[in-house]
This record gives sequence, structure tokens and C-alpha cells, in this order.
Amino acid sequence: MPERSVAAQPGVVSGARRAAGTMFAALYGELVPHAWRDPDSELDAYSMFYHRSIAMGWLDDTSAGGGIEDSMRRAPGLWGTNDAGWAHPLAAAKAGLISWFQVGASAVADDRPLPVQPFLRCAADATARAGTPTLSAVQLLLPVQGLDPASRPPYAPVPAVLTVPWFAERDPEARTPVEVNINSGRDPAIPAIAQQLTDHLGRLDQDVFTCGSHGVAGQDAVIPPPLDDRFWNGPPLHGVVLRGELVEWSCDAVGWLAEAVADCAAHLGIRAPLLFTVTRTTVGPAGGR
Amino acid sequence: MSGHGWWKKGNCTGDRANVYNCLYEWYTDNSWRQKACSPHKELRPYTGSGDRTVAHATCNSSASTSWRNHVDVDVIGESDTSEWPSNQADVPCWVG
Repeated sequence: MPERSVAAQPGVVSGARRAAGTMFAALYGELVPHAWRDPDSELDAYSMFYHRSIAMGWLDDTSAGGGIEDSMRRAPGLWGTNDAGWAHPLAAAKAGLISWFQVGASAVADDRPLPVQPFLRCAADATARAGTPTLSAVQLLLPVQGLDPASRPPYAPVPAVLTVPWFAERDPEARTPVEVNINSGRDPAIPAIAQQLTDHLGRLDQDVFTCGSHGVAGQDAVIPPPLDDRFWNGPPLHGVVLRGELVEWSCDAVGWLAEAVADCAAHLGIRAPLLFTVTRTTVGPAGGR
Repeated sequence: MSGHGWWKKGNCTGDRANVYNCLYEWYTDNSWRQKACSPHKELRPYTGSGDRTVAHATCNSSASTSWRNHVDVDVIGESDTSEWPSNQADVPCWVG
């Protein structure tokens, strides 16, 4: 059949720059607004996040084109910004949403994790410009489909493990009980590999997260994400909850665990976005950055 | 899905511009087809404020699709250059 007789359909440009996929973060808890800040400030969450991403050198600008600067050498980076806000129309009532951020994650280097730690660094920094946060939960959409476990080198099958020493110098009293909900939406893929996933995590040379127990989790066990279900095969019907301790209650530690879980899941055959929610199970001192 | 539009002053002398942006979905006949445009807005240069235009297209599936967001800026009282800058991304949003 001649190609011209086939109706054109939307698709993906061949040869285009590879991307990992959509990455999303929602921060929950309480935010005490800065007394000095104008509550009507036009400096919004998107602006704070965008400029922080540029300042840190993490904003990918290579997709820009069509301007007089076409011959410019543009900055590669970890993500391109999509959107952000302090509130969201899909946020569950009383969930305590403080802020949310959405990016398009760039292709992941073979020996690097999904850039969840820097993503949450910018999210937390942007939020802290508006007030002092006390986080109760962090929710992430992880583009696991953007990871290729076959491309991981032997020295970095789970690249997050290479950064474990960052967490070695810390107050032993900082360990914090948490629940980690890992959800594959309408696909029961995650409950099917729950035991393998916890075994895989347990075999990593790390003590950032110690898992005490795990179980299958239903839809009621997770904060409804402020995300359209079509983003990720939602709603969150099928998940597993890990109960354990994080080395500290911080976005760095949550980000590290998300990076490790994403790679473990990819090694076990998951090829779809996962909703990842870490909830603090005890009330601690103010903070959460 | 949404695309935003804004402008920065650069070496322009004017401090107001008419701005809009449009979203284009890529088709397998190698065409970019317009799916949504924002309203035209008169904006100050973007310095971190909320001064942006927003184009919104409703996704009909989450199939990965290539998109471009074009921004058009007409600085009031100045003759503009003709470029039409865009950003391109593969997004799990299929409109069709």
C-alpha cells in the first residue's frame, strides 16, 4: 500500500532527543508563610522552581529552537520545566498539599539515577521561598519507563548506591519511621513483585532505608495524587507499602530512596510510571528539607 | 497538557509586548498541527512574575507524542525580528 494512502496520526519524531518521561512531585504538610512575604506576590511556584533550576545548572535548554540564537550552544540538563503551583484543582481535600512541580526528565545517563534528589532540592528550595515547611509526606511520579537496566554498567546496577556515603555523616537520632507506598495504578505489576522488590532493596549495600515489613496496599492507602490518571495509568489501585526507617526525614533521603526503588523496579521488569509516596509516621521537629 | 509563553526584555526599549503561544502536535506525515493557542495578552517582561500566557490541549490518551510550544512576541512600538522560537518535547499526551 502506498504510504501516502495511510492516514497520518500523531506520533513521536524519530531521531528526536531521548527523554525519560514526566516526573512529578507533590509536597504535603504545613507551610508557615514568611511574615515578610507579600501574600499577593506574583513570584509563583513555577517562577521559583524555574529560576532555581537554571541557577543550579539543572535546566535542560537543548530543545529550544526557531530563534535568532539557533547556532548557540545550549545547556543540557536534567529536566525541562512543565508547570508548578502552590495549589492544584485535583488535590484531595485535607491532604495538606503545599506545592507541586512537574518536569520532563531528560534521558538518564547509564551510570546515574533518575535525578530525583536534585528535582526535590529545587522543589524544596522553591517552597521554602514561600514559607517554612513541615513536611508530612512527599509524593512522586517516577518515569521508570525511561530507565534501561540493560545499559547499567557493572559498577552501577543501581546508581543511587554510589551516593550512599552522603548520608553517612548524620545524627543517629535522625532516623525516622516512614511508610513507602509504591503504586502501579490499574496494572497489578507492583503487588506481583512485592517480595522480589523488598528482597532487591534489602540486598543493596545501603542503610538509607531499612525495611521492617511490607504488604499489599489498596487505593485508600495512598494520598490521591493531584494528577490526571492518564499521566500514569492511574488511579492508584495496585500498590505495596513498605514500613521502615529513613536515615533522616529529608527530601534528600526521600529522593535517594525513590532513585533506588526506580532502578530496582526496572531491574524486575517494570516499564511504566510508578507513583511513589513516602509518609512520615511519627511527628517530629519542624523541618523537612 | 499546557504550554506557557513569556518574554524577556533583552535589548528592547519597550516594556510591554503582545504575547501568545500555541501547541503543535507532530503527525506521521512529518507535519506539526496546531492544537491549541492561548489568548493574546499584553505582558510586561517576565522577571519571575505570573505574567505568562497559557495554551491548553486536552489529552485523549497517554501515548507518547512529540509536541512543540511556539511563543510569539510583538513588542509594542518596536519593529520585531521574525523568528518564532519553540521548545520541543515528547509528552505522554495524544490529542489526535
